[in-house]
Formats: sequence, C-alpha cells, structure tokens
Amino acid sequence: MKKPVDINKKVEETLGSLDNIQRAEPQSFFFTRVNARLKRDEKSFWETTGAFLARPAVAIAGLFVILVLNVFILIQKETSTSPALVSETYQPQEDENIFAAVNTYDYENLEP
Amino acid sequence: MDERILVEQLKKGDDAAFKTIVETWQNMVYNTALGIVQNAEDAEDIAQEVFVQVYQSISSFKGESKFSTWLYRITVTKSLDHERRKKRKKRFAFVRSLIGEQDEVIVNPPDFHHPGVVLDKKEDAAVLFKAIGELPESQRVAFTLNKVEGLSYQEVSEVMKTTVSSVESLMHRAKNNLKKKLEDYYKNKR
Repeated sequence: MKKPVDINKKVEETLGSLDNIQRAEPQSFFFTRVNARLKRDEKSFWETTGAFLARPAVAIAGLFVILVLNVFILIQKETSTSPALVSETYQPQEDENIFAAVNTYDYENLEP
Repeated sequence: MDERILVEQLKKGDDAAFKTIVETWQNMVYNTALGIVQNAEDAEDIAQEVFVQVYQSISSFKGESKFSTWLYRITVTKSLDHERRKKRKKRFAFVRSLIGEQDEVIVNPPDFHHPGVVLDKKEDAAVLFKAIGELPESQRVAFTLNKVEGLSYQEVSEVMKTTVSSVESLMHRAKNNLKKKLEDYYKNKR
C-alpha cells in the first residue's frame, strides 16, 4: 500500500463506498417508544409553571420587580409619616370634638 | 395521505395523524441522525427526541418549507447538539483524568458500520465514516445529507438554509479534506 497509484485507487474506492447505500431503519415498535417518551415528557401545570419561573431571565426580572415595589412602598411610607408634613397638613376640624362634648349620658343627666 | 392534511390534523391533536407521521418519516430521521452521530443507540434516542419535538411544536410549523425539510432541520440540529455535548464531556473527562480526579480510561469508539452499506464495501465505508466524523460541522452535514440520505444539492441547500453554490463549495471542500485524510490513513497503514 505504498505506491501512490495504489493509494489513489484505494482513496477513490473508499470515497465511492457509500454509493447505493440503503437507508438504515430503527428497531421495531419505534412509534410505541416515541409515544412512551412523549407521555413521560408531558409535564403537569405546576411543573411547567415552576420551570418557567426558574428560568434565569424570568427569575431575575421577578426579583427586580419585587425590589422596585419594596423601594416604592418604602418611599411612600416615608413621605406619609413625615412629622413635618403632618404638622403642616393637619388641621383639626370643629366637629371632631362634638361627640366628646355632648353624648347621650349628658342628655339623660340634664336635670339635677 | 397529503402531508399538509396530516400536519393540519396533528395541529388539532389527532394522535392517528401523529402515528402516520412517525411511521412515514422514521427511517429518514433515524438514517440522518445515524449518519451524523455514527452510533445506533444515540441515533434512536435523537430520532425519538425529534418526533417528541414535532408533536410539541407542530404549531410553529407554518408550511413555508416542505414538512420533510423541517424534519431534516430538527434532526440535524439535534444531532449536532448531541455531538457537541459528547465532545464537551470527553474534553471534561480528559481534563479530570489529567488532574487525577478520574480513573476512567478514555476509550475511542469502535469503527462504525452503517447497516445500509453492501457487505464488500463495509471496511472502506467504516474508514470513510471515521474521516467524515473529523470534518467541520457544515461540511459533515452537507456530505452526509448528500451521500447518506441521497439529497440533491438543491434539497441540501433548503435544509441548511443556504444557496446551492454554497453547498457545492462545501461539498468540494469536504471531498478534498476527505481525500487528504484517506491518503494519510492509507500511507500510514501497514
């Protein structure tokens, strides 16, 4: 196998070895195995949802939304309980003390 | 039955249509996968995966190409993914063996014998398949689709989403590379 002519001939023969090749076939009952695999791969609603939420992009986006909501709520709380603002905006109304001043007990005890 | 009708029926969830689809195209899918991965068990596994994907994502098939072309694309993608995974595993095992974490010996796979090759050409075909396995991915896919599946250059170009001239170029390079590999093989053979 050292002569170049022999090598070239062998190479050509080898390259032609796939001429007239027949299609290979899988083993019998292939559909049954595909069907079994399909049933095995079918996921429940919770598995699908879990898999969706576990995706890195979804998980990171969800975490970011929760963080933003937390910051937003914190800022809202800060502004609503600020003492300076409370004193500025708080105006006692006149009828707020009505109940404290007059109640049913007072009506019943009008006369000595 | 017309493939368009079968696809429409499968889209409606008809199991009988799915059975017909599997039985019609199982040899085509299996043979393509076998040509690329060169292992009967892996090819069977890939073929099953292909049909599971067909069942689950048939709604994404818009009918812009032939159904068989779509099937070929899924098969080729899955086969190449499988090959990449296998190479990664092999590389990882090699690195682990270097640092002494793994005692397993890395064994090269035995020669692949395609069951469709005639008996007197089996030896030559095994040598050729080994050389095909060393080709770059696109050349390997083009060569396998043309020589093992018997697709025309036009059909190969549709599967690979490229032009006919690109396929011609891929085939030309593949043949040249194979010639070089085979020449080296026979020169060094005692």
